[in-house]
Amino acid sequence: MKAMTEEHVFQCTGCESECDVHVRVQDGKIVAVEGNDCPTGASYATSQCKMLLNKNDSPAKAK
Amino acid sequence: MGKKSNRKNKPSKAEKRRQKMFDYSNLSFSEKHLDEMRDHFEIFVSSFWTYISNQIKQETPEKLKDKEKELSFFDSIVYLAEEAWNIAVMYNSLDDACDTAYNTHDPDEAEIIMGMIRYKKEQYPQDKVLIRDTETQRDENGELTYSFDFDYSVMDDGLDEFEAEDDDDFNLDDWLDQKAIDKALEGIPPEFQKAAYDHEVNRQIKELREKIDLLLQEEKNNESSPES
Repeated sequence: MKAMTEEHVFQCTGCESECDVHVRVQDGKIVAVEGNDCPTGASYATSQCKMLLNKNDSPAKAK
Repeated sequence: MGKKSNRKNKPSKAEKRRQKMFDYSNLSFSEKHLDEMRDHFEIFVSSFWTYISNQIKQETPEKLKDKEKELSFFDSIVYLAEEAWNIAVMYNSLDDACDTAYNTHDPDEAEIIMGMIRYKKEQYPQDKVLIRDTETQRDENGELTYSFDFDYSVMDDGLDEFEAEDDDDFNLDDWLDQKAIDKALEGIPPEFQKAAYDHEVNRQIKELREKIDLLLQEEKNNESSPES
């Protein structure tokens, strides 16, 4: 089965560079973080992406 | 069916200790956890690579094209990633990690490492296994690749946790070879004593774990073999 890959871009707000950090996700797991000008950017984007993935993973709430 | 042996229902103290230690090691280093850590380290390296590349691109863009192809440059990135990861694993306190980073590297390198240590601590605090034996090479397609292994030993706070959780009179010191620890610390400068101590203790725990695995395997074999 072909792995499903998607890419998310997060604009870091950690410093004045405000770099666009690209996070590659494969089958619901982060596999690469790129585009960060500093470690803060990587950390920020990883957190944001984790939150996004958790949100998508959470089951729909019953009425 | 015969009457069950009482002995099997009530494991001896030694058996309980052994099982506890085995469970603990298994808990800390399940295959799933190791796979996750492997992924995390790869992400760590990829973001580190981008970070450094972007720094060079901003300062001297013309240099980057050459640098990106250099095995030695790639090697230094992977080496610094390993350093940052390991320091983050070894020290719970950011201050201690900072001291070690600045004591063992020049200020520029240490600053880079500190950024990555913060990243590791923020994103992967639960990954408490050291990285070792990183190797970089150029594959047959000319691509730069790297490999690494884990040091499957329990880290310092793992040991604290283990001792604190233990309600028996288990004492890890009973299991460790103090003479070997003393020998490992001989001639080590004070700032590296903790790292050397951790390393030796981890080595001994790894050995113990292998012995426990063997013992448990023997027990399993004995249980499964038909009674005469």
